[in-house]
Amino acid sequence: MSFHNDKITQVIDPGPWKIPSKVTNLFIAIALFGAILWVIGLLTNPLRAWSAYLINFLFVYFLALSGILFTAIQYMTNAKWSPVLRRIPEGMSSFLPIAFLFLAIFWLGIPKLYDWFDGWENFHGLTSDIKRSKVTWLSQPFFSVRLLFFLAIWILLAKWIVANSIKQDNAALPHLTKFNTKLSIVFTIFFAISFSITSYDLLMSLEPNWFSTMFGVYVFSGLFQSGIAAITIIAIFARRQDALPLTIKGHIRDLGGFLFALSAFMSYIGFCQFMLIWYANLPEETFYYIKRTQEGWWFITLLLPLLKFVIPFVLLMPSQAKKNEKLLLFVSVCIILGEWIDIYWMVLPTHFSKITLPGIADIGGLLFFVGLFCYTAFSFYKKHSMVPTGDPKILTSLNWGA
Amino acid sequence: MLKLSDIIKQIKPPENVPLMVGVFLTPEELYHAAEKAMDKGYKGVDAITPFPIHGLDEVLKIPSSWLPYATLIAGVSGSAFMLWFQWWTSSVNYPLNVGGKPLFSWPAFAPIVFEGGELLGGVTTFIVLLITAYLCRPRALIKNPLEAKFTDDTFALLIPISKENNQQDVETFLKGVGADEIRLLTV
Repeated sequence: MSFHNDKITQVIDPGPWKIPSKVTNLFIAIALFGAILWVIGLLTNPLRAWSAYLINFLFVYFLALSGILFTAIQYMTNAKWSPVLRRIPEGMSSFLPIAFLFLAIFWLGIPKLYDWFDGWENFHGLTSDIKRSKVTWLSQPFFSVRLLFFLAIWILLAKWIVANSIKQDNAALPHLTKFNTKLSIVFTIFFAISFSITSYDLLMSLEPNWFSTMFGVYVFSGLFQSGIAAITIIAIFARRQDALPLTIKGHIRDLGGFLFALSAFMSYIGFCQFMLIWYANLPEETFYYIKRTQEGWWFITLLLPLLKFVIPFVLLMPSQAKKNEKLLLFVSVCIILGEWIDIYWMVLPTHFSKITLPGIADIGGLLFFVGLFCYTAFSFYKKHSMVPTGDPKILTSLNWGA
Repeated sequence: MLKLSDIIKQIKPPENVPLMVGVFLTPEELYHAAEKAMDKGYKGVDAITPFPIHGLDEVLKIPSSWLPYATLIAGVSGSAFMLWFQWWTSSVNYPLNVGGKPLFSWPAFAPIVFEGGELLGGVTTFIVLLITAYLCRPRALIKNPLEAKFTDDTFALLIPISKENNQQDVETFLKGVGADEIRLLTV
């Protein structure tokens, strides 16, 4: 808390973010262009195209989930610094209902990517012990239904939390904050379990032979890190365009602190998973890493610690660096790029033992999903006031930081 | 960027100049008094507070501490030493084949490298701070010890009396900004 003379005593509503409809139309155009590219990719190489679909879908799916997770954590911890930023993650989570549609469409691609999906009789890679334990869990209807069920619950809770937050804008309804805190606790506990299962199902079961108990938390750390990076980027642009108050410099610095801390968390989890498998040296575990360090994949593997740990950790170490917006933008872009490469690295080597660089299907998928994600998020920012003016903690939040 | 002259200034013991101490009861009062003192152009103004007050360093123009550099150097040396030591023990002095892995296998050494850097960095920071902040002098040598309440619930603004800072002037200034208590500390 600072004691400047210019203490803010009244909340000035900056209103919705005035984004010209040109920009939102551009996002739609980008998405359509990406869809065309992806369809061309599908006609030439279906396996590659569905891999690209999974990579890019998960990339934006994780960003949307990190939005509602960040909101829930702020409610749950009764955070006083963050309410002024809350609309940004809330807008990111507005992609979730659309994600439901695209998760359902992905059902068409599942048989191509997951070797076990057409029935275990055709799958010969498993030893009988492992097979017996996995046959029930990885079976067609159960697999599809639980993924959609988890997403449906997330959408329900996310919509509920965001709707309560928006209701507060027009009327003083402090009890909704208490109610949202309860919803957030339910969401976070449910999310911890269901997200681990989702990551096992969608990413780990690409290689049904492989198992790692660190996998859920590994994917989660990537989700959280890239989510904070996305919030940082949007917050910086919103502040530059007067959609958020100019005084939120301290908040952006704190997001920089988050990025710094999470880069250490990510590397810790990533190294834990790698080191234990390397040390134990069991063939049923090591083949995952052997695949990813041969035939040119080594190059991609090296990019991950560089983009997700070395660059953010070294550049953001001095306290002055976290106040430098250009540097924060650069680091955030590196982290988001690293997250995309991470998912690319988890999905593709399963079916392509030789390194494949991003092709037409990957770029098409990326443009399509990112265009759609930006369209939904920015439509949300256009519709709702960028500062939750009715939140009971908004004044404390506005006066946060020096 | 930190200048060498700043570091030397911080390491040198403070000169024994008389100090005018203004005692404040709330952080807000101290913050505003500090702002006004800087506006009046007093030199060498400092503050003692029981907890960090955001933005006070900027107001008093206190240069950033050189202590993190000591931590960095110690941490990197600790890591380097641990890496060297593990290389020497496991591949030079007593080569041991563990599961057919290379003698120098960096992934196995990483946790110890991390711990070594952290330990030496942390301990060095603590010791360097003790020495350079004069926290380990014998009690008899400390003249005019400041009261314990400055580490509990009161806030002090220190203005050194010198040619530029006239004593009478400083006293009326502190009264003007509403100090709860004004005291002169002489050596």
